[in-house]
Amino acid sequence: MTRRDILKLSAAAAAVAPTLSFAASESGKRKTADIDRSSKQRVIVCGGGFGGLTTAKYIKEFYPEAEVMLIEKNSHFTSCPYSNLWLGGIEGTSLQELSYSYLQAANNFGYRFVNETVTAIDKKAQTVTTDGQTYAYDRLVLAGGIEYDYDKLFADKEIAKECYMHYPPAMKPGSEHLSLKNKVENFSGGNFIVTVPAGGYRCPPAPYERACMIANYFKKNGIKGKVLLLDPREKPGAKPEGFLYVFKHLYADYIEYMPMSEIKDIDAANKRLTIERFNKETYLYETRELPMDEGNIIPPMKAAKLVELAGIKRTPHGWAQLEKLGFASVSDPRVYVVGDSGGHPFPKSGHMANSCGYIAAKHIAYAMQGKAVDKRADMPSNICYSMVGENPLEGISVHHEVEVKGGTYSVSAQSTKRPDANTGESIKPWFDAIMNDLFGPAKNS
Amino acid sequence: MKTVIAIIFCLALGAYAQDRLGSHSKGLTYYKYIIKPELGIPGDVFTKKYTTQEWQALFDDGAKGFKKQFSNVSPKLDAFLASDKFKQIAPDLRAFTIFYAQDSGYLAPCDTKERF
Repeated sequence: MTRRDILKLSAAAAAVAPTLSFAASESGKRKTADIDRSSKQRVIVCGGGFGGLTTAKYIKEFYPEAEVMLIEKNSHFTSCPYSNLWLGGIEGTSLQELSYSYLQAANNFGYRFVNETVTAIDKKAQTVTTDGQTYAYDRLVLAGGIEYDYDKLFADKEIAKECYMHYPPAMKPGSEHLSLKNKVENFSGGNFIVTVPAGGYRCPPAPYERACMIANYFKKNGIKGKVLLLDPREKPGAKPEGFLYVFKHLYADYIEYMPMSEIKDIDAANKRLTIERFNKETYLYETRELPMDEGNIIPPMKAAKLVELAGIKRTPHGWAQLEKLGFASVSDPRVYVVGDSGGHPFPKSGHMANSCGYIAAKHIAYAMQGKAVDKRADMPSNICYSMVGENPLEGISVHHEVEVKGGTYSVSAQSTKRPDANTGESIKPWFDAIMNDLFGPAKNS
Repeated sequence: MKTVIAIIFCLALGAYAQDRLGSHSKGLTYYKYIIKPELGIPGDVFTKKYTTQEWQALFDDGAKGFKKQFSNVSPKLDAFLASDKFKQIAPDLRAFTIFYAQDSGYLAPCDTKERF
């Protein structure tokens, strides 16, 4: 199967998904009443990212009788995938391209969009409370994505706050991206430091792709700047051969890759970053101060706050602990976690969240109808493109396959070793296809 | 002169290391460059030898259990386990083993395959 086939498969999922129609059952059993509570079984999806949108859509497809409600604090969707191209000034990209309407998705796929912020979750009463009201649920899906974990970076909360204010990570959609875009466009020269977090984090290739795109912007606009890319790993955590090749051959004068480097301290006022870097001769980490004219400090990450609000069990690394095969929490079989908050060994990417959302929707819809589901039947997969050059457009990619070995998931990865135009040109169609899957066609109201 | 500076620097770093919990990514690097060449075991296999609780116990009391468990493998490793350098990096090694422990659900990357 080629990468293009996988992309087509993902895009075609909407068309081939079986549409099931069943009479509502077990309704009216909820003791908790709330406004607009209908007699249908209700699924509440908290979080409107790639995972949440996909799950909401496909529960309606697999079980049209269910009432599906998507609760999201933002009024409009902004995509993180594809945003690095906009940051890097790739011709033809725009902020508008990253923005979509939740109402468009809700209208196209027949679920309800609620623009409120979740403030409490009561598993026992099966209710979700927002800044608006309290809603009862039969099944709950937590799809809140990630939370930054600055505690792992700085002991002092004030320093963490300062770091966030001055150098926003831009790994969550919205204003952080705008801030980073301004930093890139207003950069007059010097060191632009980008850091890669330790541990599992959202979109593993993103910091490396971002470094390439910022370097592309510098190159294109004649800015005498250098991207210092600090990585706690010895080589890039995603597409290592491809990225190392690109750093050396496309951006030798613009990117300095600094492996085995960790942040120790930050002085935002004086624009200095203290790091520790492994010395292969002394076998020790040595402290060094770097002038930081601008920066994009990406801290470690953990599951979104929704997981904490729900009080479900987390892994030692801060992600939701899920059943071995599937998406239900080990703490409560009626609570599911989809997307980056989950503790599965899958890469935390938009495509993977889309793929998992489809499977989770099937599991949820079948469980609500009392139907048996074979959890080994559908395995998620992932394809991830990174744009690395503009003239010509060039990209690298990785493809993940998941299979079950010894009763648990096993993930394999295959990545391209060199940038090529075919991959570069596949990025926009991939993005359009997945957006079409999440939002459906735009219609005039 | 460079060596003297390096020693002073390392001691300062050691003092810093003692009052923190350790970094799993640093521990991985230390394991790869210092311990793996002596033990000959890839990091992903090494960390899966024990559970989180068992690794914690091995690093308790100045890593007494760890030293006992991995002594007599090679004179070089024995010398290292008895050194101040080991004391300095023990918090990082502890963080590394716990992060990738048998029951952690994570696999240490350790050269063999691409991780994400």
